[in-house]
Amino acid sequence: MPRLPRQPHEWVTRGAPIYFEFEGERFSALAGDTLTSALLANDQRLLGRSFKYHRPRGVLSAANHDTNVLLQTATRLNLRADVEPVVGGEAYRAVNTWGGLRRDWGRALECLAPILPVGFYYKAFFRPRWLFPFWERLIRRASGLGVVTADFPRTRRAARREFCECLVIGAGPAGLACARVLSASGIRVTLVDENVRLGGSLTYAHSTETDQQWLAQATAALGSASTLKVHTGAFAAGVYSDREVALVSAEGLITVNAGAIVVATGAIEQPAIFRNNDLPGVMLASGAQRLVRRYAVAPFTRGVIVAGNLDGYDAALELKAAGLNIEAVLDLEDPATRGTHANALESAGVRLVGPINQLEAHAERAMLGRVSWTVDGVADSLACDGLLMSVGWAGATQLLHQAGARFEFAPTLNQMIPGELPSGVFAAGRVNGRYPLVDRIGDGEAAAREVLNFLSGASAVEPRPALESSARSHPRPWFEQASRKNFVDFDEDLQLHDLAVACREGFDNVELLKRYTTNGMGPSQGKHSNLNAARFLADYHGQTLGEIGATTARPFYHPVEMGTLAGRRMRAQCASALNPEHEAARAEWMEAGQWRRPRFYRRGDEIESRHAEYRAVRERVGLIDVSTLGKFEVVGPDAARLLNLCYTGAVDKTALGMTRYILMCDHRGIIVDDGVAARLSENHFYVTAGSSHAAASYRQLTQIAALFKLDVEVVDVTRQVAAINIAGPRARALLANVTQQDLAESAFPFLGIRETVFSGLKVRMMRVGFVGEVGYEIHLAYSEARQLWRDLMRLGETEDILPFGVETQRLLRLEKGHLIVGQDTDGVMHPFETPLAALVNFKKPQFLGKAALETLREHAKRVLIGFESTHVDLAAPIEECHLLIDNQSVQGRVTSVGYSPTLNKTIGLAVLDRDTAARAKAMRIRLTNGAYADAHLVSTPFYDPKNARQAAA
Amino acid sequence: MKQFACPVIGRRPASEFICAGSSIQGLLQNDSVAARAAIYFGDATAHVKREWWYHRPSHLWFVIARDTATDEVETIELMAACAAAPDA
Repeated sequence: MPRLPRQPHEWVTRGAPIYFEFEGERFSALAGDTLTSALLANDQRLLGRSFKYHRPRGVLSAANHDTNVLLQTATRLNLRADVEPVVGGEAYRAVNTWGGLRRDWGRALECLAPILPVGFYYKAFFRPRWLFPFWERLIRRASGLGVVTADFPRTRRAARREFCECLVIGAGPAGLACARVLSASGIRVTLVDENVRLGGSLTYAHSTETDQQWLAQATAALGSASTLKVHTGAFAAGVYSDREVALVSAEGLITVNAGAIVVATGAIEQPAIFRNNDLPGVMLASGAQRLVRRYAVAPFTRGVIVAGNLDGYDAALELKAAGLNIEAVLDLEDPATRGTHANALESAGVRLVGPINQLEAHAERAMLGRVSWTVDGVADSLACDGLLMSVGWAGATQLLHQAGARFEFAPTLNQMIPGELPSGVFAAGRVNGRYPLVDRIGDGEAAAREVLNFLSGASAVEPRPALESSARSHPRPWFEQASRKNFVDFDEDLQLHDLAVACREGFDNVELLKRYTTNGMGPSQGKHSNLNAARFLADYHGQTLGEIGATTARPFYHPVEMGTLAGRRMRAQCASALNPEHEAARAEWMEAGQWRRPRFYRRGDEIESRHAEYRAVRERVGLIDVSTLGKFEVVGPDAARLLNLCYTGAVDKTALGMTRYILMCDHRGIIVDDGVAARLSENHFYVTAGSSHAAASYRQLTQIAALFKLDVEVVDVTRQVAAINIAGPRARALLANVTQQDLAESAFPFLGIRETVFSGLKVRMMRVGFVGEVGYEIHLAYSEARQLWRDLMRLGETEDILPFGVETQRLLRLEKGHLIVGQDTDGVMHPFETPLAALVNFKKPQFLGKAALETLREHAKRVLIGFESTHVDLAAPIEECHLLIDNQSVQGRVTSVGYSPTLNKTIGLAVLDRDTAARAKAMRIRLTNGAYADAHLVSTPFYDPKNARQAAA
Repeated sequence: MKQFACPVIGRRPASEFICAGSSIQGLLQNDSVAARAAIYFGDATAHVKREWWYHRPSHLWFVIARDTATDEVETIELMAACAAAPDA
């Protein structure tokens, strides 16, 4: 049985087993098992299929540094079996198999390998053209990993924020030593590690009594530290500006703002590259050690180690001590140079071979069965079911790269190590090039002292342990052979041959090589492949690793689930005071910026409902909640001057008690907002703004006021003041009964404003004409708006008053030809392309956008124009953004459209090429279904062009 | 995320702020040639710039001197307490 006797520091809990299903078969596991360890404990070595060729794969790193084993359940996708705990009762299957893991007929794809050379997507499938659909179907079928279903539960995890003086990432020897010194000095420290237990490499290597005692003491010391917070089973996904780090935990995203960061992320073991190095049974030595020490699983019965460093010898000794059978060490160097390590192994009965110059793994029923090699041209082989690779390490530098660190080449280590680090970011341990355990601990403690210096404002650099004089990483850990299947990137099925082809084709830059070959672009993001590819590229061009450099690492370190990124939805929404009234009147809601507004009020189906609202306004009286308008009080001696500077018109010419339609352009002359400015006194204006632009308009007003040091106060009362527009031919008569204000045209003319008492409430009333009927916009305190709304509804009962929604309002204003900024205008539209040109007053010495508008005046290329059409078809209507076609070319697009019951026609506004508009009288509109509707270009307004309705009594 | 050490309310994340650029005066020039130069040929080189930053929750304007090459903030002042507006 592969499960070993109890190991001294194992992570599994012996006792009642838990059961799970894998590929339809039932297996048992221990609490604490990962999926990988549980499956290996059940003697399952074929665990996945590779992405491109569907080659059989087994465990490689057992640390989520590769994605050989990706599983899915009915509700979760792409589970990384190396780190995913077994859930009792769950059914797992491998992703990316066609017809199951064992049979997977997708393995036939390997026959296509010769016609899928590196960069094949740039080279193949273009000719013959008629074959492309076939290739497309095949590629679509082959690409992707798991299968997404729409039934996945939408899991959202709450995000939270934490603060600390120092964040230590990685709880290996260096990180623990660092956190211990820091917390002893009383500062607030957060320690994070992606493993479920602290210790880093001490939990899979360094099994001696002394080393394990150090770990026990260090953890105990941390346990008693009151200023320390520990997150295990959480990984640092990204490092952002000002030392903000995103931690991903099982509970959700934790954003940590740290005063300083210590990166002690350790090193990732790198594979050797030889033929069939991907067979199940070939794994990293550290992977085997993890399985043995943490999960008490023996991943093989007869093991051979490929060693390129002393770590391979250490691994052999530790595995032997744990009771595993190590038959031989195949050294890339001469074993005679390995000193005491070699002696220890030889006396333990392990055969030492080297320097080997060829290496190949051989399959036996799709699993590793034998390894062969040559030494000085003499070939030999050995039966084995475990081949462990220990040829070198890559620092887990991703987070340091993200933080902006620079790296330099350390020739004695054959490795890149951190050089210049950004302020407040420190590195310690193996990621910093310190490999011996004692040096890693010393490096962590020195980093802690540097952090304390930094936090106290000092800049003193502390002495760090010296770098080793011999390398732990082999400079050329590959065996070139004519035959292929020597894999560099296991995610992408990328072979050494592919890199060689790319180099021959002229790729000499590590970033370009990555994109051309896709090396490091798979789900493990090059954790096991980037360094080897860079080494190969450097070797090919006769350069050092330092000259070649490394590819950029970006967030995230591991993939992060969408639900974690989304967090909980917490979007503040503004609520109109009248929302309960709308609700009671059966409003159908729509989102409008940060507000919700009634789209229409339901009375039967939507068309009936909207038609009833329309008729109420045109024939009797209707009312609409316009509380979402931006509303500002502008008060002070410079009030008129400020508005003149911000808006295009002569706002200062507005008479007392009158309002003026105003337009705001940005400095490029583009229309950004419109509204109304009402003059309440010489130095007091009341200004409205578009619902979605209110905050930006307020910002603009305050900025200009600050720039010119104007004596003016601008107060945003958008959310304190509610507003109701009541309009219709009967509106005036209706209101006359309840206000002290004389509503006669002479006393309160069109575009006037009056402050008065209405139904006992203090209000401001503005005569507006947006919907084309006599209308009053009544502004009053938020707290009193419901009372007014109810009074108006009660008052209007005799006239059969109806509330109307945004849809009806849009149609009513469209009949009047009024444009809506943001709907009928776009990001480059200026007043000279619209009917609003008259609102630009060039006589003013200075205003926002003036210079640009002076140019644009002569260069209008488009025009906003009205059209009408007899096309009235509910099934295939004319819609916004439909294109206007003339002579088979696009001339413009529809910006607003609707059916006008009064005109019994479809009417709309469109943006049209100016020359075309001057020439053409009719145009065709292309509908969604591909058919065309005829439209005539007409002048606006469509309804009441002489504004006679405003004068009517 | 970038944080600004506000002199009034302490460190705040950049997402609470809106940058309004370093040049507004130029955009409002009477001389339309100069204004056009400011709009279309504004200084885009990386160096320390004094910029307008608006803090949305408090509705306050700040003047932040920031090195646009390194994204490092040199000074941060309340606009109201500032002797001169950016680019003035």
